[in-house]
Amino acid sequence: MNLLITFTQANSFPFPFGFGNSGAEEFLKSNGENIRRPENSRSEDKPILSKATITVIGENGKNRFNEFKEYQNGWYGGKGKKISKSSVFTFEQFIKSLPELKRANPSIFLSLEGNLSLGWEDKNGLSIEVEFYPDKMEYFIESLDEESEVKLSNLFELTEKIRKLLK
Amino acid sequence: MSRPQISSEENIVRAIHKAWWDEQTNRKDSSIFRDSRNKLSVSRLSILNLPELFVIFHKELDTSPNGVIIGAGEINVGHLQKIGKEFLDNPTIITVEEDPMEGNPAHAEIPQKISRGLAKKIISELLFHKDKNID
Repeated sequence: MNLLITFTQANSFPFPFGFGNSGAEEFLKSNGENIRRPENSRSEDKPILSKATITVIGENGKNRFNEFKEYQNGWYGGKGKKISKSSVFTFEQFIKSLPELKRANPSIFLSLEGNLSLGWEDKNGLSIEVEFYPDKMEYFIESLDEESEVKLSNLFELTEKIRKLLK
Repeated sequence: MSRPQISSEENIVRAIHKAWWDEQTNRKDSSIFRDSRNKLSVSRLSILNLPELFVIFHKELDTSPNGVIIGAGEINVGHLQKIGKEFLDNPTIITVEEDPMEGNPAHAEIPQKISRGLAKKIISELLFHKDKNID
């Protein structure tokens, strides 16, 4: 059966690419979204970012992302995996729930597992790092001496914690 | 059979990919000193010097049409071990083991799990060398 993503609000879920991740689907279901995959979607389609996300990560972040999505499986001596569309989905949801992050001018990175991550400094100049897995986020908050993970369905627990630390 | 450990007197370097160093903001990702398989590759400066290693890094690690090694992070093994031992959240005994490879006789491996917080601490202590041949 073909699936297509429908939106409850215009621009509500900015992920114009196919995905087949259960974590992402669970998240959408838990948020009352009707999930359908675009009929013409192909697994080799490259992910693109929403305008809202580009606004937060800036031109430098956009350029880095555009480079990351060209990496092939096997980058870094055979160890690196190409960018995970499901990670991009998680990343987009995080940014969408924390648009104030723009003020921190965060940096975007790509892990060997193909996950995007973000790094920036909080209001005290201490480091925050979040890595976006298909179904969870791993994070490190230096000012709280906290290193843990949250499921995508509990995204707001993390964004609320981080919001208090933003500049 | 366990591999010989590298002396605390030695200095090692870790090859740094463009994906982990945002040169515009000068921020570094913890991926620089973490490996999900607990097999972090480093190279020994007592075996090969940095220019020799950069040649190897580019040959062995620039394996995508774009995205390259842009630098290396250097640290003394004894200092690295001290950072691990004194890391309050999760004190970690760090060892650096000889692991010469055909393409890189200076190759060594750190087999411990390095947490994200510890990696950030180590990265803050690295001496960064930018590859002058990379724009």
